[in-house]
Amino acid sequence: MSELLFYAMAVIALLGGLGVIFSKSPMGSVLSLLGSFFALAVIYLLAGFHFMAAVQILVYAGAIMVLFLFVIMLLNLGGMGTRFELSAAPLTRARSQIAAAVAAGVGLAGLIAVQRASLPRIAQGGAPERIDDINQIAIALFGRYSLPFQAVSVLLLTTMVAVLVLAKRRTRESGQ
Amino acid sequence: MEVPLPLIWLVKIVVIFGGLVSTAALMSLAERKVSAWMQYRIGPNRVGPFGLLQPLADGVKFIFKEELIPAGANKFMFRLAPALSAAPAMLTMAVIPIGGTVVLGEYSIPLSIADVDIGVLFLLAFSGLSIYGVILGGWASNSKYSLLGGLRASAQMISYELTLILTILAVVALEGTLNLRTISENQQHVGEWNIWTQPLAFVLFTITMFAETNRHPFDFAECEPELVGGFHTEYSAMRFALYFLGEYCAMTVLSCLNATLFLGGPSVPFWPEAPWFVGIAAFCLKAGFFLFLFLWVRWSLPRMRFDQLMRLGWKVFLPLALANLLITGGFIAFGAH
Amino acid sequence: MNVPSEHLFFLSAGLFSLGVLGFLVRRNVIVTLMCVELMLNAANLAFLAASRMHSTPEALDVQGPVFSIFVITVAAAEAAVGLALVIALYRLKQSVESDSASEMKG
Repeated sequence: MSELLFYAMAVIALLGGLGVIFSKSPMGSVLSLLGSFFALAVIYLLAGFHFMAAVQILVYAGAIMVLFLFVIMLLNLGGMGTRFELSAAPLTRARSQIAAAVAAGVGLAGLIAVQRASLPRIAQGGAPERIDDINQIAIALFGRYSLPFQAVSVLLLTTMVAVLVLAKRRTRESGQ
Repeated sequence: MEVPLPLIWLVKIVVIFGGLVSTAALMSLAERKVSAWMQYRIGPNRVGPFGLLQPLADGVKFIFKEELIPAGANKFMFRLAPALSAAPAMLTMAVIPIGGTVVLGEYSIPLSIADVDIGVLFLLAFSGLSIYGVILGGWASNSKYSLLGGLRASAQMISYELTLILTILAVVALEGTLNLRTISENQQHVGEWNIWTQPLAFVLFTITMFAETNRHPFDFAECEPELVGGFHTEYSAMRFALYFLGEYCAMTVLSCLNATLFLGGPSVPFWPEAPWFVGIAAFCLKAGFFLFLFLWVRWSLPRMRFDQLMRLGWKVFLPLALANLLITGGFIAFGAH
Repeated sequence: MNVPSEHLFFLSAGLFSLGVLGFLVRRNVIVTLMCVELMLNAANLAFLAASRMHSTPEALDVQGPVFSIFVITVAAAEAAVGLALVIALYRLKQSVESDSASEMKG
């Protein structure tokens, strides 16, 4: 039963990915990506990562995709009317074939790598029901990985400053 | 003896969701009744005793009304948006413990649909999704008013969600668990209620509730004089009602969450070994108080301006919530906890 | 769930290549950013699959989740900066196509 659900969700995640690429409007892309993220969250749940599933929905669906939607709406507002489409003109045939070949190559390389490499499998038998224990994650995050943790927090601060500088409308200086 | 019989699950789901939806329906009546009382009017009193069947009549009316979809609207998203707005609010009710454990004969039934050990995260994750209904509804309507209303509402919800999360985080840090059931069981006695240890978080949470649900005094999304009806300007009939159902459900869930986090959930003051039905009554009373507060504030305070609201959120509430979290962390680390 | 962890890796590879395809094909910068998000998600899935492969009921391996948390944080930062750039580009060129930013002098 849960196996079936896994494969169904895998298919939805891949379809969502396709939807991102081939939808006409950016809004459609956002919704497809959202569907893909939800399917991934369900997969995380099934694979025993309850916390990561919640984080996936909280951060990706609840924050990052909202940001995308927000920018699309803002640009719609700045454009001419609400129907202003933001989609790009199609590429030439040759270039898109090259792109498809590259993507297929990357995917195939990954598949072959997983198939060929005898992955060091420590867990014999079934994986545990619940893998991401919050206490253990916290201990790892604030113990062994406290340096990257602090680096990431500095990155977030830098991002905040950078975004403010980039998005601030310059009113008094020259230019716009 | 714990028996997760499918029948018990089904009954729990039906009772709790039924309770939520009927609370939402009753809120639509209470909104009008309380407004009437505060303005020295009578309010709806024709349908049923004391007008109690008014929500039913409204529902029938909404179902039979003609539904309009504006020309040029994105039909798919226009239809999807109200459901996206209502569903997350209803889903989050699943993790809220209405009462303790009910012992019926040989069965002991915990009174929440899902006893998730990351319940708080689940709740935050799904309540954050209700913003999609607002944004998409505003965008798909193909109307300037809707778009502006949607933009405003979403900016407001994003800003105040931070404060909401930070205040909840202070409680979570104090309790050391993300499980809502454990949090509510840790507050059996009235002296253990988190409102005593986290008064600032309680006040911030209570005010933020209003902003999160787009209620007065923060209801710019539907600011009538400026934006007609906000993001649901173009909606009619049942889809319009669905937005309201979502709003009332979100109000109910947040009130229940407030009661659980700060007021000890189903605990009865000075009567720790109260039977379970008294606990449920106490829980409903506490949640009901916050629901009444929504209406009370609506007729007591003037609406704020949008820039005032943003300034309040980012420059007052967020620093206060951060400081509260910092002090709480300091007490946990260095205090005699 | 009895799905072997390899299948999680296969899904991850598939999502990643879709992200690569979109990144190369689409010229709308917003969609390009979304494809980057898709690739980062594929990476997350791979981290978690590896973690699942290494976990036993006695000794859980939480390095996968920890790295996923880092990836998610970086993804959020990337999205924020990327979208701020999109807004800046739109202000400058009235367009969100990556080709419109091909001049050296703005």
